[in-house]
Amino acid sequence: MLKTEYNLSQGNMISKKVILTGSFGVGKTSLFNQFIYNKFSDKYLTTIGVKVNKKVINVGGNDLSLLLWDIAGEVSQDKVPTSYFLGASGIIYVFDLTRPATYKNIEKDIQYLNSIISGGVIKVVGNKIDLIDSGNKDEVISKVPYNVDILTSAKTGENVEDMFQLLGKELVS
Amino acid sequence: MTIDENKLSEEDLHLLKIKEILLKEDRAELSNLRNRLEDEEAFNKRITPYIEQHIDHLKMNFPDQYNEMVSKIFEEKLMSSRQDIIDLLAPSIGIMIKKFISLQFESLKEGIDNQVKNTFSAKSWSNKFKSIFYGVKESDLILQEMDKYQIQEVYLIQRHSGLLFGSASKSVNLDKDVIAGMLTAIKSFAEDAFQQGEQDLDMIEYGTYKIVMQNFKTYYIALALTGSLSASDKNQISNSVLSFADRYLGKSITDIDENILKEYSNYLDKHFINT
Repeated sequence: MLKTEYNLSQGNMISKKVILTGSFGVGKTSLFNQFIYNKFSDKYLTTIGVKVNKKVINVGGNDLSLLLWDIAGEVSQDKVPTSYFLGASGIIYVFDLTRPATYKNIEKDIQYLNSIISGGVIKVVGNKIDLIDSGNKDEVISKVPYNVDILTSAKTGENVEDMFQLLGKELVS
Repeated sequence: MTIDENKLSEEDLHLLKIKEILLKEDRAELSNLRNRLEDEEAFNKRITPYIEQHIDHLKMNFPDQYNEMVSKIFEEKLMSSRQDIIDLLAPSIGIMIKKFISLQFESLKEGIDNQVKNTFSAKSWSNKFKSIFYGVKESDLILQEMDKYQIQEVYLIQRHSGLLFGSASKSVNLDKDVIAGMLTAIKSFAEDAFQQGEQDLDMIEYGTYKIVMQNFKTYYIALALTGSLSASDKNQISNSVLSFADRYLGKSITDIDENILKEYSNYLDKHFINT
């Protein structure tokens, strides 16, 4: 009989489910790939259904295992199957800083997400910062009708790790 | 060609001059044309757009225009090289078939050895009686037992989040957290897509694997099995899962950490794998 294998490491690591959501083409999969594999591709391949992967981060000296669900983009969040959100501890709501259509429903979307995962952590992320002139940054952000937690670039990797650290800290607090 | 004008008659000289006058423009144009043709860079510049246009056209219309011809050439080539291809592939295919057959023989031999050992055992007598009473051949009963399902892997998964409570397996495999997450995502997708009320996805078949899932309120148990699975086997598995749940899953779990993972992985191993 073969020996049974366990997936264990040192310490007492906690696991949390995190959802990456937002409109289509905002860069959710690119953020996912940048965070998990440190890779970026210019090719746009729409996500069908959901893709799951895991990454362990260190938050305040403790390991936190994030089980990330990268789900297919929808114009409105109430069109996403509710079951995907069940059991999630955190949601990363991504929008595209260069396309106002991707943040025009932000207030309604966040309100809806809050009702689904009451008590969970939601982070609002403006992606594609590399496409915005640094001089126009404040003007673009002022047009977003919601408080943005962090600006990222999946292409350059700017703030991608920080975004998950930010979420991780609140998940373990 | 050069002409010595001193040797020409007056009439020829006149004719030459008339030619010069009449053909002056044509000759200049011819010379200009020659220069343009001989200037490689200028010629390339002029001709390249036409070639590119033609290449584009060829790219767009290649299948329509040449499909039949290419297929014919390929077919002819394939037919003429049939023996070469067979010679090339035969060793690999032969090795694969040989390996498969030797594995099957090994497993058959092992099964027959066990059956011979058990010829006079209670099981053997039970098969003989079954065979007489139900009219099923004893050999069929033996074969059925030899192909009996085997639990290869087992996962205990939080129902909605897809987080892993524990797992046990007969072999080393990929990241079990990701497998648990993807299984849950597939379940959610199927259950949402068909919206059949409270119904759950309870089986996935993949190649020689069958993944049987038994759902509870806050968690589900997924078993990856090989071998054939009869209705009575399903019932037996279901009973085993229920007895596991009854024995080990009384308390509710909120946070999943490594201690939980270790504890439940041990239970799963003891109950399903190393029984």
